[in-house]
Amino acid sequence: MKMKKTKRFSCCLLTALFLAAALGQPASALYQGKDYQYDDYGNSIAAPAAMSADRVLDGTDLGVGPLREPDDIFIDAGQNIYLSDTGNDRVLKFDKNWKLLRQITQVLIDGEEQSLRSPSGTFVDAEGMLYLCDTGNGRVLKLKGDTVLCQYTMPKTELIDQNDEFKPEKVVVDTTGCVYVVAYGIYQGMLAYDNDGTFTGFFGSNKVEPTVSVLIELTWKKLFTKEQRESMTRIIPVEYANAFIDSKNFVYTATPNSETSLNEVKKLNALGNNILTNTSYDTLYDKNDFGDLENNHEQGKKIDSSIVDVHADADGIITLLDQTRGRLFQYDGDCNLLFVFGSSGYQKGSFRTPSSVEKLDDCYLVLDKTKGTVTVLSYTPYAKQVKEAVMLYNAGKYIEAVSLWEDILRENSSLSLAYKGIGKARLQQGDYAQAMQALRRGNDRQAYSSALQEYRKEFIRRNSVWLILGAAAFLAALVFLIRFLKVRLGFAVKKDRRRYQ
Amino acid sequence: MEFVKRLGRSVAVGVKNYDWSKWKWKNLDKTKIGWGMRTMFHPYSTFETIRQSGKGSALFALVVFLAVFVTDTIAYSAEGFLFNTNRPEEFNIFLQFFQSELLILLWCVCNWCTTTLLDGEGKLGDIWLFSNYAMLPRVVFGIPLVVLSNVITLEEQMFLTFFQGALWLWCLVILGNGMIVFHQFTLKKVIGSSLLTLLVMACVVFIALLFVSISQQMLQFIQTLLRESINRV
Repeated sequence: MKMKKTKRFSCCLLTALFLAAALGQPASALYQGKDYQYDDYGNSIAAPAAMSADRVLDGTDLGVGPLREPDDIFIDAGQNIYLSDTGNDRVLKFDKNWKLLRQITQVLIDGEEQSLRSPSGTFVDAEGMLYLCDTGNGRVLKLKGDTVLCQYTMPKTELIDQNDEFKPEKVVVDTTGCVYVVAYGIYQGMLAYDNDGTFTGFFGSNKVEPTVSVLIELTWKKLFTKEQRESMTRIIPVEYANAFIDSKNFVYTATPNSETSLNEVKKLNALGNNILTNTSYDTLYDKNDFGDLENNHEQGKKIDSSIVDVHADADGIITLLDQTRGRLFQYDGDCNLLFVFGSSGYQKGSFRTPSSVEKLDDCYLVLDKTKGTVTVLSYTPYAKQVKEAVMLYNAGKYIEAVSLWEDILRENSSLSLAYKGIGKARLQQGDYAQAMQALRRGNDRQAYSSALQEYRKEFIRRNSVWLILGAAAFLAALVFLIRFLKVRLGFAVKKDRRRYQ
Repeated sequence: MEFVKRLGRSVAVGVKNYDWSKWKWKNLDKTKIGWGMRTMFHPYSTFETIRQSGKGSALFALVVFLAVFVTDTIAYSAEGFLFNTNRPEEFNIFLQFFQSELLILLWCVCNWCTTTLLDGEGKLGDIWLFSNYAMLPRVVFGIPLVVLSNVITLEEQMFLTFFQGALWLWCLVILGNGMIVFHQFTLKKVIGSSLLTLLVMACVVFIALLFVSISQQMLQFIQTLLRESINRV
């Protein structure tokens, strides 16, 4: 009888444990609204719309026939638009009002006319020379008018298999004339050439990301023989998709497939080192995680942002183009996320396969490969306000920006940058209590620490008498309490001391 | 049904005949609180006294046990903004309880298993006692540290880390003394058995995780089975 009871009880206990363990499934959801931003913890929250699509131009609107798989758009110093109509083997040049100026289908090489094949990236340097990636023919051409002055072809180096096809996709040229080419399949980085065509080396390769699988592979490789190692997969870094160069010769690169979702955009200096680091002490998610911070998994694969183009404007605002979900991400020079815009689809303002982004005056042009259209986006009034306030903030003019920040907060009460701006302004003005309050909401610990220091000094100076009296009273009370507990209540008094003699 | 009635009746009789007055505040031996506090400052001699003249209170140990949970909960939200990245909306009381208490519980059980095999003289009650008494510094000085964290700046963070570390070290010293006195171990044996206890704790956690993961898979399997049979039949 007793045995049966314990058996029944243990059966019930095991079932309860089993159910408790099995039913503890985690739940997660991706934000389903239209416009969003990321808070300091990396969660998506609602935000006001940052951009609106003004108009969508396709080939027939521009008068050039339907565009097929256009790959790149470039705007030079004279506000001329170069559009690479890759599928139709031509490059189109428009002025800023979209009047067709020139159509390049053939080029003169040593007096001989040759057709372009799948032209991709374009670039115009300060002297007006056009650099064109003739991807189908495996070369980059430097054009003056229709004549080819120089060709940049597959570099003769042991690091690249000479039997592979050379497919240069994007080109940028710095002010010294150095040509950087992003080629398909070249994972060692960008190819750097002198202006006369000689290959000088690789520039700024990505580093191999130390994920767990990479580390496990490395330990196995240490133990295996050379033949076994050669038959294993090689661990190589990820290649770039696109590049952009600014007026100070910093090269911005876009990496579409980042296993760890970090460093999707890099700002490389002349040595090839990435100087775009999020120095904020308060980013409570992975620093240098650009694009979408929340990802979902479909059939075991992580669906993350794949950044296919990057643009940096004169004020340092970095725009990223995400092909996965058709979004534009805009950051200021300190990697604070300002805006997210766009979605995937066929409507005005949605993109199917965005391939390139550029800025014309105050509007952004996004080129869509599948739809063959150029979408012109402009800022909403809210976004213009935020941009202005951010400019003042980055210039250190905190106090001038306060009223702007307050207006912005009325529309978007969770923009932590606004609270940081107001907090720093109050700190400058000397209003420490208010500064602490605002900085706390803005999650800025460094500035909060400075404000606390000053506030503490003031507080002690104001209340020094009370503090000293309070401390003395506290100590006296503590002493009396301990004596009371020992003497009156007999706490921990050793009565029997004879034992230790 | 008969069984339930008999069970109910025996429980009622047990409750009525039990001497509940011994749990009333005025009947409790309050000097045991004092002995517990003295453990903080003179661990070895106090534990000897407790061992020989029975001045240890399992009830006080339970109070300290719960106080650890309370202190951690208060610290979760009240710790200074500069050092606190916890989000109040993400506070999970069950998770917090396990975070604070599971270590102590697991330690008690695994230490008892290990020290029994190593010929220690401490019983499970003794281990419960000195393990919880060892948490006293954390409880007594935990809240003042939380108050301190609210008034210091980032440059002074090292003070906070120092005091927090010193507190943990203090707890370990009391724990070590408790092990020496109650199990009658030498210091070398204390360190050895502690490491072994940690190993056993890791094994227990591993087996628990394994159990959870396999149960989830089993349930998924049963779910799939049922879904298939419903759709096909």
